[in-house]
Amino acid sequence: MFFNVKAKPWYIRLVDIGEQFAKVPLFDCSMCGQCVLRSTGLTCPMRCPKQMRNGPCGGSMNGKCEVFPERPCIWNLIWERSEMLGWEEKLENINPPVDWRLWGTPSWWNLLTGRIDGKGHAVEPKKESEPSKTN
Amino acid sequence: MDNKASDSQVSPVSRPCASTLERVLRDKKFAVTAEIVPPRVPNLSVVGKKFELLREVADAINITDNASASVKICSLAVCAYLVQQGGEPVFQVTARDRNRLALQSDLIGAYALGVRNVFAVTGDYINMGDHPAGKPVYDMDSVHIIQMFDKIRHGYMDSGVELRSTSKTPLVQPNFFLGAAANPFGDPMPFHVLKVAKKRLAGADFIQTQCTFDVPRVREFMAMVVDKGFHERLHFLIGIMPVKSARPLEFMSTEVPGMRVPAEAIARMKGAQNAEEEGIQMAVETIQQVREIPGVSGIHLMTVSWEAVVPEVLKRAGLMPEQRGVVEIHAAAKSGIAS
Repeated sequence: MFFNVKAKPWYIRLVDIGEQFAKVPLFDCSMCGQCVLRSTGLTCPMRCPKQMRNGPCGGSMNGKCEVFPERPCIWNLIWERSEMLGWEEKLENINPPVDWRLWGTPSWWNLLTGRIDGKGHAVEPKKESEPSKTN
Repeated sequence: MDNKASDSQVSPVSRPCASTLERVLRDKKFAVTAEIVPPRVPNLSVVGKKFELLREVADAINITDNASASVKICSLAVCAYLVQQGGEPVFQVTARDRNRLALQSDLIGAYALGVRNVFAVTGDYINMGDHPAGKPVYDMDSVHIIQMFDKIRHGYMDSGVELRSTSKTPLVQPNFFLGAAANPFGDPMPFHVLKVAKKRLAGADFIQTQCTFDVPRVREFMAMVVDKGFHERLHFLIGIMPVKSARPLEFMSTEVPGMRVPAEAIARMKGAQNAEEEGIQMAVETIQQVREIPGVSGIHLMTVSWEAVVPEVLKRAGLMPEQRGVVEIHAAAKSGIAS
């Protein structure tokens, strides 16, 4: 039951727990490991069913989500909050695709270790010695 | 990635012309594209018949990719068939069903089969279709696909792997015309314009929009686009849908996400004596209004399964190939001189 299946060292688990404690209740964080909250008006875009990272899909109308009409369109919220915070310019940056290797890891740790940059964009890890060529 | 989407300095197009559709648009002719929704039954004879209706009048034909998240013959197979028949398909790809590997392998596969127009969208969510329990992929969004496909045009895969067979062979730079979607009816409108800007920055060449029943809204959208100068680097093809009755309009206004159908349009179709005739007339009027909007370079006709109406609509709108001055371009494409 308490076996650490993912075999993360204790200090990473500590950061992980801390980040989950702060971000899950506040932002519905899904621990993508590459947090872009600071460029999306402090509103997590990963709550979008299509996990769009660059703006609303074509079905966003009247502030509602096309997939779950009872939910707000997250990108509509991002727009409103960015306007409120004066962060509209940040929305002009293209956020790169999700690096799925980071899924489920704490982005605070990834930021500290340089695995993501200041914008929350994944940085290709440095290759250690000669990488083995496989498919 | 420090480029700002709203910057006007986007590198000019330096590639040679990739397709007939691109030739038409580069020559500043008014472009017409149509759409075929592949059938579910594994038989292409229906597609063949629809293609015969469209081949002479449209510059290119979009082949939808599991439209509305319902299983159909795959877009790639139908595109390959159209190429065999001497047609000009636009290969639609969605991010719903493919991760970045599949997106890229389908693209280079399509290119190898002679497809030269690609149109990338994020795609309707899986719960709208016939397999709502499936796992939606969404490894990337539409902006990412366009960015990745543009990188392939430069000879590199998304990961940076070069497009060449061995280290001694030259880099291959497949040349194709890359399209993206836009929805003038989505909210908030400035954000949808910004998304067009992002797609332009990512490398898109043309935009096809959601179908239009609300012309003032398109006018407003295009005014914002022209104001930012995005129309100089992107060709805008406005979606038009001729309808046979009021029913599809009612359905679209309530069930289809991202569509705006004014009540007047529904009332007009309901009150019509001859609904088909009224539907054609309404489409023709929409086309005439849309044509006048600055920044618009063509139309995209979405007929669902009423392809037979396309020649009639185009005839009445004055958009037959000879009226648009594209006969020579079509003839040149047939004789094999694409650029």
